[in-house]
Amino acid sequence: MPSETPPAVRLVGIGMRYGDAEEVLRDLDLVLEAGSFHYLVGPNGAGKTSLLKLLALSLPPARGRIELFGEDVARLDGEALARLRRRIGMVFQDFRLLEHLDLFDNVALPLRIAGLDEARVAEIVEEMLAWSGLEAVARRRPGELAMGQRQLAAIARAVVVRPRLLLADEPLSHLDPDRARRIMHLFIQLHRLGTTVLIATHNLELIRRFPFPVLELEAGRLVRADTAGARAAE
Amino acid sequence: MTVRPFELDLTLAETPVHRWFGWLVGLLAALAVLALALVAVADARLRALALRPLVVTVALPPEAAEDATVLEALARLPGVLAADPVPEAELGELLAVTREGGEPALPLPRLVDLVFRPGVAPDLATLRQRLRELAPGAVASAAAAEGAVDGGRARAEALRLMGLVVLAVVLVAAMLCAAVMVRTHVRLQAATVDVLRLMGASDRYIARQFEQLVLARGLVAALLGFLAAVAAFLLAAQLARARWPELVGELALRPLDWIALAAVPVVLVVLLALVARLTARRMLARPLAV
Repeated sequence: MPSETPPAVRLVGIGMRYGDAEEVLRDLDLVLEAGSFHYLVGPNGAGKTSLLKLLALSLPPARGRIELFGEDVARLDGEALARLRRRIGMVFQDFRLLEHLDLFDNVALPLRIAGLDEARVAEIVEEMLAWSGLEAVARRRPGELAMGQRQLAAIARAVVVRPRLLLADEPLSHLDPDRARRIMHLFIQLHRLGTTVLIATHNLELIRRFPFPVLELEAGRLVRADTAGARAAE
Repeated sequence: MTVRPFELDLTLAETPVHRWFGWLVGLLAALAVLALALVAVADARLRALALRPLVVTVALPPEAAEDATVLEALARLPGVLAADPVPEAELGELLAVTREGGEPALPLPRLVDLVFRPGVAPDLATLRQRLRELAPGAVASAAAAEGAVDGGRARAEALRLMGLVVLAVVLVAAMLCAAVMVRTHVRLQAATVDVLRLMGASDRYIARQFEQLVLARGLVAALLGFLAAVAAFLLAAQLARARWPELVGELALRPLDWIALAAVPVVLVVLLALVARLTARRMLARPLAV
């Protein structure tokens, strides 16, 4: 019996390339049910980052259809696309923090864009920074911080709006084991609250310690999709 | 509660474009204020010319000049404020060079100045017709007076036109500068714009950032330009008064003129902000190279 809630992600016949180069994603069909949790694995150049950017609506596909939360993104106008993006949290491998803003303002950015009043923004961001152990450096700029702190800030920025879809590209790569464990618990907590989580990683130890279904890409094709919450698009 | 200082989400203040933009807006605002001041001065000159009574000199045959009824009739002509006979002594001085020390061979005509009310342009044809009826042989000539007034008016109107043209050119130049500045910024900030978009910022939100930049930086620069222009105008007026004292009244701007001058930086910046928003929206509608 089909679920009433539309899947968080539905990709149909996706092809993606950078410029005139060869396709980095090929004939990709995928469905991620709402509230599922997956790892995305594969060798370097398999297309993991490209898939995450595609799902974050950062890059357009060369062909195929993307549906997020039941909405065909190709049919959305600019305002609707912006609203849809506010439901997505993305942790970039290179963090992509804004260098001219301090950590507080970087983490506050999605909340301000969402239009929250400044008192509420301050309350949420302070809580988030305290939880992630960044309160002492809240007024420092990203360039003044260690890689681990920047990564934490990027994670904080991605989760601060309680996204419905969380995409993370190697989110634990610069964190010490204790911090990495805490962040994984945070991701799992969000997943339990209904967020669909997709984490690209090379870290097999992480997958062993926190077992969730795995999607595997190889040369731009999906070669493995564990069935719990993921399936090939119909 | 954390108090957030005024800060834009984009790194606009740190790009080299911003530095010259402030100077340019200040300079253009100063030029716009000076151009409008020029228009105000020209208007004042035109108003002064309009208020200046026009004098038409009538040459009457001697016998008609002796007739008081003729002078009364001239004074009652439409638009005439007064009919003043030119004193004989004054007339004698005027003709002294032609007499070569002796008395004139022919009887001289008597001159009467017809002073028209300010703003009244005498109808010379009708005037001459009436003169023929009142004093056959009388001659009326307003050529000198009209020429002087027309020359002054033409100069004032040219000055006014020049001020308006400069003002228009400055406004167009300012808008072009804002458009170029925003286009450059959008390109320089492509990576930041991309992050903002991924956070869910709409193009309208991002365009507003550019608009705020122009409002914040442009208003300060335009106000400084306004102050510099006012100082330059007052100094120039002071020097002009010393050189041409008769211009004193015309260089004193009315309160309404000052209000118009004060509105220049505000109008300029509002225009720039509008241009910034529209340019940013147009730029954001295209794919950006990140």
